[in-house]
Amino acid sequence: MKIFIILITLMIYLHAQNVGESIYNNIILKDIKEANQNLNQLTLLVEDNASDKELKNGFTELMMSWKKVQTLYLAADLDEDYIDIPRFIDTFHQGKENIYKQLDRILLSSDSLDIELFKNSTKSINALEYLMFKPSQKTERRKEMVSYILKHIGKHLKTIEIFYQNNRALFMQNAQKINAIIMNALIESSYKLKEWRVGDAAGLSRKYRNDPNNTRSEYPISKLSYKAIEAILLAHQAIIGEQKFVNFSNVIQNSGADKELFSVRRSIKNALKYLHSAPAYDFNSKEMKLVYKELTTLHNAYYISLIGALKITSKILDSDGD
Amino acid sequence: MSDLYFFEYFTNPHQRVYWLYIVSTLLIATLYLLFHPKEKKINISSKLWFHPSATLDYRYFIISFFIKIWLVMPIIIGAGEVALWTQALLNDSFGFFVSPRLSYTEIMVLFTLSLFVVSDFTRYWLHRFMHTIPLLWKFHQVHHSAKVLTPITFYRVHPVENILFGFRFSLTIGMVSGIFIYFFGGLLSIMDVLGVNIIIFIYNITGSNLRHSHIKLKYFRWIEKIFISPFQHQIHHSTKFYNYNFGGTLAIWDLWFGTLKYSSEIRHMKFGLGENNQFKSVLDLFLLRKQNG
Repeated sequence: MKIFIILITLMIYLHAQNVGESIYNNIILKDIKEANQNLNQLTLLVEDNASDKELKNGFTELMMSWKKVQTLYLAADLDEDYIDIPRFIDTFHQGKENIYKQLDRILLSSDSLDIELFKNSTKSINALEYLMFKPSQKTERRKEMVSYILKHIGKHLKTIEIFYQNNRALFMQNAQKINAIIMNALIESSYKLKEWRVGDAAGLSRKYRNDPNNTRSEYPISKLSYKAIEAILLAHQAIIGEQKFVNFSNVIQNSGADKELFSVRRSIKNALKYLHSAPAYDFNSKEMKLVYKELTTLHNAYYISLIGALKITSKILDSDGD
Repeated sequence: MSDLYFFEYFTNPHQRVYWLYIVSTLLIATLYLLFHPKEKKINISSKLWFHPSATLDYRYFIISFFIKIWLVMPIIIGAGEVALWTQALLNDSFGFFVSPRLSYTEIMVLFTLSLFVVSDFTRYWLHRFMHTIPLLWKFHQVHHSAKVLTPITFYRVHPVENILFGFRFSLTIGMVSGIFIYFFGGLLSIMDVLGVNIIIFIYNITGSNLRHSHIKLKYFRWIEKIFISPFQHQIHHSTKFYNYNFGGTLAIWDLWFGTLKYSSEIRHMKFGLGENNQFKSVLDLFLLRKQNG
């Protein structure tokens, strides 16, 4: 009996470690490495004065890999010193300043970039998008600004990578905490995806009901907003979809929420299907409305899975009365 | 629901008569009797364990299980659903709330404590209403009709009371969870032992089953202002002081709302509803059919 209990405990421990290790190796570390590689690649393309098409592809790759990192950004919950890093890289839905006007002014100025680009917002990936896709004149100043911003983003992406590399043990040590952090990231990400990235532009969110406007989407200049949505959905699919490696779906399954897991997977799949069939850059289309509907189901299914995992089920078998 | 089975009472750590709690109760009782040898006779007497009231408890315990499965459980709403509605209502009313940066551990401690305190508070009030509202007292009399107390007396509860406490549980736990989910998202977990809220586990393993027993375990007076001792609950089962000590785990509610009776205040007591108010069969308990002597 004793040996049996020890074996079961060991199996549970190894399984928990296995999930954490697998997520760390196959998603967290892989994504941040990919983002850094894509950043280096784009830096080279900019230096080599590559074609517009190559630059656009390079930016798309970087942006999509960053979205994956951002979706499952767990560093902030593991160490509060890392809370602000995503805000240094990405300004979507933060503040109300018009960075485009500021960038236009800096483009015409000849002052040092260390002085002009002192704000994080003007060194963000959103600023990068503007500079790479908007100005009609491809001046040397613009190239300098792009390189400067890439360096800034690269510095922060490297910080994230080093953090993950140095804190591998955190993913193995406390399975319960890691699970809670992942669940929190998925809930928060699914809400922002639904309301901010689709709902606001499609006129379906609380704030902009019946008032669709494509310019509210995440990448209105490059019109790569669909790609950003796709990257986030792929990040969800990596962590909870059917994969060759052990992932968070095993945790959900172990908590007995098989039905919710099925619902989550189906919603991700359907949302991707509707997104791929949506007309180019038209958030007011019926396909994008269907994407929104699927994302609502996804968000709710995450909540239901969480509640299932908390095991706050009724204990009616106990009379509870005294 | 269908995968519940009777022996889960003894194998599920959420249940009061989970085997580990029974073992710990036996250990505490043994220790108590070592220091109070005069009480040994009554506590190991077959007259106590096979008293007609006790055997009625055993029969009722078995039969009421099926009543709960077939009649009570299907109409009780789950705490999970309530949690989902609460968080959706808050979301719709105030918009999505991005988690404030409390640490994982801080949230876990806060959630575990809140679940326990709020639940104990609503339990106090529903229990008190069961006594003070005449219609509810009719049903609660079933529990108070026990003339001897054994841990199984805990289950001598009318199905209507089960339903009320089931709703209480779902609403309380569901609302607290929903509020926490709204504020802290997925960063939520409970401090638990064997899947049970750690506070409830400690309460159960430190002799909650002695509440329904003849082991007169008392605490120091200052502790009895905070926690209800087994003897204080036995006072609640007495024919004279049943309108005192409504508390589940915490005594602070009784202290604040004027219903606390300390162990030191009571010397002798009798349990039950009196000779002319007895339930003699399982059917009597279900139909609230009282009989004389």
